[in-house]
Amino acid sequence: MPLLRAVALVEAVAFLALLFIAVPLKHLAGIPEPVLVLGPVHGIAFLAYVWLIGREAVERDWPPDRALWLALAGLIPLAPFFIVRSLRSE
Amino acid sequence: MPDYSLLKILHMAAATIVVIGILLTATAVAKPPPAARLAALRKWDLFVTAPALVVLWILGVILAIDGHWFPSIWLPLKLVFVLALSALHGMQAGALKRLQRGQPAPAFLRFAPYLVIACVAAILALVETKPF
Repeated sequence: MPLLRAVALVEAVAFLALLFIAVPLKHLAGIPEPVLVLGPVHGIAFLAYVWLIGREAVERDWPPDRALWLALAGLIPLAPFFIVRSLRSE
Repeated sequence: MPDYSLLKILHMAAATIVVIGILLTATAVAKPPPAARLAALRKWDLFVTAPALVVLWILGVILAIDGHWFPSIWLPLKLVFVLALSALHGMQAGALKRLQRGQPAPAFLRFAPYLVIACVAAILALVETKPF
């Protein structure tokens, strides 16, 4: 699952940078450009993450609730870091 | 930045390739074909449908930024269906790998064509009417 781990990592880093750097820059400093870059990066990384969860879930016969929780975890800041760690141990 | 209409045409072309690819794969998952056809279908999925899906995502984001659609409510609604289609295609890709290994595909994927048609209809309705 190296691709899933890599995409989860990109998604997590982009989400954190979006929340804690780009959004404050836009609303506090009036600099919207970082949101325009990191927003799409996070969006596309999340779509790829969900696609990969779907693929791995079917290929490896994961229970549906596990796949659902892993997909939803992509929406929680920091959670994908723990996912990457748990997937590495499999 | 290329012309909005050109991007829209490319986006729709990519969407057509993805929908055809997902429907093609759905038929194979419902009734597995002989090994040679399965291998060809998996190649098509890997080298045509999956890249078209990535192009679809990227162009979709560019169009949303270019058209200033992000504040509209119909766009996040559309994204829910895009997410469902993407997850479905991911599951189909996993199912094709299973079939190639001689393992059965999950039974629920037999309903994929209906889900695809419902999602595409909802996406087209939202994009065409832009209700909110």
